[in-house]
Amino acid sequence: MSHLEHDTLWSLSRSELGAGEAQAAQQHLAQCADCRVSFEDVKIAQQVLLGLGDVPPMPEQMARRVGQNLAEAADARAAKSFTSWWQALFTPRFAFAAALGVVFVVAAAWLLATPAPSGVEPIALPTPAQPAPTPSPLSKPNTKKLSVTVASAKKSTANKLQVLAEGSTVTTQSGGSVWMKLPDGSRAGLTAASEVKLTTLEARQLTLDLTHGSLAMVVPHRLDRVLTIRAGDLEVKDLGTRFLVSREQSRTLVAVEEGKVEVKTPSGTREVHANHAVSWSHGQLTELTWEASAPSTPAPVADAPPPAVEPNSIARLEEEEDAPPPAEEVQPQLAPDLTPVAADEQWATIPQSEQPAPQYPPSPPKHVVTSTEKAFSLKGIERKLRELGTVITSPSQREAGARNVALAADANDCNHSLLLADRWLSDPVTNAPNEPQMRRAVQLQQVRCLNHLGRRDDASTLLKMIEATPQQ
Amino acid sequence: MTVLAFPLGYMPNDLAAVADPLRLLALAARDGESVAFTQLYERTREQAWRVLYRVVGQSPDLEDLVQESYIQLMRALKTYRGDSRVSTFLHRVCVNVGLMHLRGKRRRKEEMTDEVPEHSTDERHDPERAAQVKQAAALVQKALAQLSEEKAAVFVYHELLSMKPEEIAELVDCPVNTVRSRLNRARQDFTEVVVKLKRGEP
Repeated sequence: MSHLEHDTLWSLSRSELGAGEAQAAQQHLAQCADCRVSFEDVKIAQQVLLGLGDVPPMPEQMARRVGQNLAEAADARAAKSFTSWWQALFTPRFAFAAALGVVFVVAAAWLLATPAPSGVEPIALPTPAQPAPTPSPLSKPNTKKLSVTVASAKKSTANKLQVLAEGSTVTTQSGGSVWMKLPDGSRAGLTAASEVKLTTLEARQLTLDLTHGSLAMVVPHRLDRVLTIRAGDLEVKDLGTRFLVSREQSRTLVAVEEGKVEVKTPSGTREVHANHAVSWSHGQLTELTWEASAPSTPAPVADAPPPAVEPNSIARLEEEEDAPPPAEEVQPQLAPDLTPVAADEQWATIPQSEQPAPQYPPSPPKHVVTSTEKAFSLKGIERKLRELGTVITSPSQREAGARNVALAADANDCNHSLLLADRWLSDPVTNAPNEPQMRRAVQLQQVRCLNHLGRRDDASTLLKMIEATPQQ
Repeated sequence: MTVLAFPLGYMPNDLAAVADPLRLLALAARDGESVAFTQLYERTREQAWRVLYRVVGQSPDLEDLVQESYIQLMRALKTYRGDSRVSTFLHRVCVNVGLMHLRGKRRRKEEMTDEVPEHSTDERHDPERAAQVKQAAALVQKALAQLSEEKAAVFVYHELLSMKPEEIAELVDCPVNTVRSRLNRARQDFTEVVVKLKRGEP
């Protein structure tokens, strides 16, 4: 006779079992002496826990003493971080690095000063580098770490074949969209009114942060690198080959057209397969059916050369225009399954007979999957998202203003941040649904800046005022 | 309209999260603003106190442990990006500090606290009840000190702080099912140890 699980005994003792389960457990206990002993032990353990009593509030004097000590520690830390930069000058490591730097500078100057061999022009000292139309694998590309804005497909402010360094931000405004080529050969398509930051562009790791809008990915699945798209709470990991991440104010959508991806939420990690989508909204993941925009053909594996010609840590805006949408576009059929997906349930499981045939083998680095990205049109995706109720617009002037207040505060430009906040707060109140949250965020930035400037009384007064305002 | 690159954690979609004062204070404290750290302490001290009191009981070391927890929080904030709740950080730090303290005590083979409690509620007026509470707390602490680190943490979160497995999964960064099975094993070990201690077995 098998014994009762410890969990069952624990739940039985706390009367947490259902009527049927409790009855079955009681019947077992009546027959099993071992389980009766275990049950008594569980009761003893639970009595001990029940005997712990309530937690009293923290004594005021103790709280004050700890607060004073911590304030001193925080001040000391701030002072240390302020002086640490020049103290670092006196460390042996810095001295060694400085000496090495001097040696390099002298060596470089000597090389530049050496006359060039006959017939060859002397090397000119730095001139404004022009982006070459076709990059040579040996030449260092002119990387740019600033934001690139694509206003519209025809009126782009970005140079085609623009080279983007790690840390760049690419923004599209209403009517603009752009494809980017990533160092591993993947392609990322940014639809209108979207923004993505190329956070990591390393050989073995690529990370893109989607601030807002939609990002379409066409990715050859490679085992030797990890490609991650982050969109707020969600992290989407590529398992190949075509998928879409769309981030709106109230929800984030991940749709897979081909292959599968891994979606990580604060409550767990799930795989999403082709023709499926998931919507993350208010801390709940809902499964949806996603109809691929065009019939996809199995992706052949080509013996293409590895994308090693692209130097690491850069991406490129692509020259070609967005692929036209397919002639006969299938109407999207999105059938929401309104029951929220429980965190530990295995969902998105396709019955064995319906499972799509694997369209790519685990490819070695030198094999690149040629995918059907031409059918994965950004305009088609935008149409589809609009039909799902997505509003594709750039952040409003009001939101941009609130962001600028936070940015100035982040840059420790507190006076400017306070000026921007004053202007923002004196502007007329809008009907935007997030207006109260924006107002609160701007006021909290004011508190932060006032504290930073030493105006603690003002900060405290303002904070009290904010706290007195009910949150919406 | 100028569209600026927005650092992670300050996205317009996260305005609700930006409006969380604790988060802003934590970010400011991370950036070296000592006043922000003091305010963060003022707003969270009761939370930290509750966690530590539950783990170590009425100990004269509580004051030091609260302070130690905030010093560790100050260090941990260096890596804070603003994308998780400050209370998550604080809970994790306090539970670790509390459990480390219990383990240290066990290693030093000290008696569990016999000092007169400096702070108590109703038990002060009822000596019998106070003795019961003290005995229960001593048993729980001895048992926790004997559990493995992972099991003890999960047990504390669920049984002493009444957190749900989903919340614990976020704290310990592992799947919910792992939390459940770890909790089951922790309860088993806890029961075994408490029963032995009650019977006076070594």
